[in-house]
Amino acid sequence: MIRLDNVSKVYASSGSKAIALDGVTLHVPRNAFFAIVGRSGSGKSTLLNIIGGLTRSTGGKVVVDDIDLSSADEKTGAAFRNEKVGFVFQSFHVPGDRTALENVMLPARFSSKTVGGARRRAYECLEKVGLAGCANAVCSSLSGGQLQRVAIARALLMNPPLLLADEPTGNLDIGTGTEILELFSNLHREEGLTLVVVTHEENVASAADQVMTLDDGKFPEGSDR
Amino acid sequence: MTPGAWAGLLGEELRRGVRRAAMVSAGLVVGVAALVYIMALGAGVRRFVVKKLIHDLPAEEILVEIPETDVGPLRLGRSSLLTPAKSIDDEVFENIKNIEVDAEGRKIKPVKVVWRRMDAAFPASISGHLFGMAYGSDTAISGVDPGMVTEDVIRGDFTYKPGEEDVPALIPEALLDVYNAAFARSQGLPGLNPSYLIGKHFNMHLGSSSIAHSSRVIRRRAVIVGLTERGTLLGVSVPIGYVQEWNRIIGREGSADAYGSLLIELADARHVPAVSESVRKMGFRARSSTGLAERVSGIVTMITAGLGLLAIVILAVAGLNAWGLFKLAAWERRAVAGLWMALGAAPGEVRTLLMAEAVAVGAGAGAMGGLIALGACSITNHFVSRAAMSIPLFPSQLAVYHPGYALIGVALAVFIAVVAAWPNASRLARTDPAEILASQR
Repeated sequence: MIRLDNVSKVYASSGSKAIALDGVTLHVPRNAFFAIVGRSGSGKSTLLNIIGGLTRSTGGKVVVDDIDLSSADEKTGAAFRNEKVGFVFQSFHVPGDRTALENVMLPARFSSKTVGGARRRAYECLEKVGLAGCANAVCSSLSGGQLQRVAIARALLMNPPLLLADEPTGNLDIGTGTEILELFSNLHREEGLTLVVVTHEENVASAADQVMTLDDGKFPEGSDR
Repeated sequence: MTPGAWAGLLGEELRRGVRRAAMVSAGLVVGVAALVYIMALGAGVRRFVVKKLIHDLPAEEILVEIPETDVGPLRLGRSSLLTPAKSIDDEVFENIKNIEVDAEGRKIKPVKVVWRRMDAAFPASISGHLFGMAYGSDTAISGVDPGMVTEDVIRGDFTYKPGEEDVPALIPEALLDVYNAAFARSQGLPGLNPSYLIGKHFNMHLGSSSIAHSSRVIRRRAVIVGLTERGTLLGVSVPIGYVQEWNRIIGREGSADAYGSLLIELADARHVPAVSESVRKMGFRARSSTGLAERVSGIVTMITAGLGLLAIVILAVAGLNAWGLFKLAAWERRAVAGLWMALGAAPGEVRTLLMAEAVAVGAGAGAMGGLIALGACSITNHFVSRAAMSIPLFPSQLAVYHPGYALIGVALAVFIAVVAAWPNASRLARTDPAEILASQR
């Protein structure tokens, strides 16, 4: 599903260089629940963004679901993000002035194809995350846990094979975080999704099939567990 | 993105950004309204000046006059003491009739006829009775070739007949307008129409006015035979033979042989420039409706352009304001744009969406400005038409609104909005979505 060969990412600004990823090689099989852990600034989010086509690597090869993101053009990259991957962020990124339903339907707007039945599908996704009753609620009135559920429903709308979550429980209390984690586990198990989660929380990592620790932009020997 | 989804998203974003759009639009609306209004006023003034004030000189006619003499800041006319004025006499009259010009490789005589005009070289006044009331006034008297005003004679014979008691006279149409619009109103007198005036008699006191007297005064009775726009503007026009006769008796020396002006009628208006040039080479001023219209039109265009520049300045300031607001908007929407890109929008689509918003805002502001200008033109014309009833020669319409002006305004507003939005939209689209989303944690 995900194959990274010797991937590097260097941020250069005004003469100085910051190496975020340094020759990362990774293989994540289809239907895996994969967790990446590491200290703050170790390059976890950068790695997730490269896998999701949000950021381009400066070296190496990135192939996700048979699409070579290292050489993909702008349009291919956009279509990949729309159809192949669903993002869940730590800070939700759910615009508060829209209803839950409108937020969930957003990805259908950016599809190059007419998405038939997007509204029905959005209702289904909200039902999956337990928010069927809040479809028409304006998101500014929802709690953090509900917002993250809306974000997950949105990530599922286009039926992507890959779900990427960046610290999905980072802004939630322990109880709500546990509920979200259970939701991820169910989706992985029932929908057959490939799930890649970046986290620094041990309980989140322990729910994954495979955990790798990133340290200073590298996977050191024996980081796999 | 499909066109339908794209349009839907654009509509939503415009609804969400109504306040911002209103702030961006405000300056553009004012600028476009000012510009369109100024263009409409310019067109109206040009039409009034060219059509109403210059139309009395048809395209194929040239007016020959004695040139003014420039002496520093002074402009001295034909009676200058410093420079002996060149006079228009019979020799000049004959020379002008026989002017030759080149036409398609051969010499031709393009002048069809030349009409003479001679001004009375003595003070004069008129008196008479109107509605049972006595009136009297100083006046200018001008003699014209009868053929020049044939069409203006309504009843009677406009020829020089030395033995007859009544002198046929034409009065200016403008004088009738002035009387009806100002004098009759203020004095509570009834209005005049041409048919009432025709056949009315009045007395002419030649050599006598309220400010000057000749050594001899001639009294003649005149009869109104028509109204004209081709004779003297504020006086009495009579057949030229009478003025020649009176100038000989009581006028300045030589005044019976000097014409005030000549009116050349050509067979073909295309020869106006060449004949005008020949007249100028003879030392006289040549005025044609084409040249005058072009000059006046040029002046009006310059004034319109000057005022238009003011509107452009307003638009430029509005553009700067729009640029600042679009910059702020782009900054405020970084998170949304980052999210859109994460959800599958291409950077180009984000940029295009912001630009489409700018086009919509610009078009809306332009249309609004055009409508305001239309309203301003209507109000102006309403007041102008009311004023026209009491001010002689005043136009009944001063602002000529043309939909094309509004289209120019809309195009300009769209252009300014697009220019203001472009750098901000491009910068936003170039931003790394991962970076934006990370900064929003």
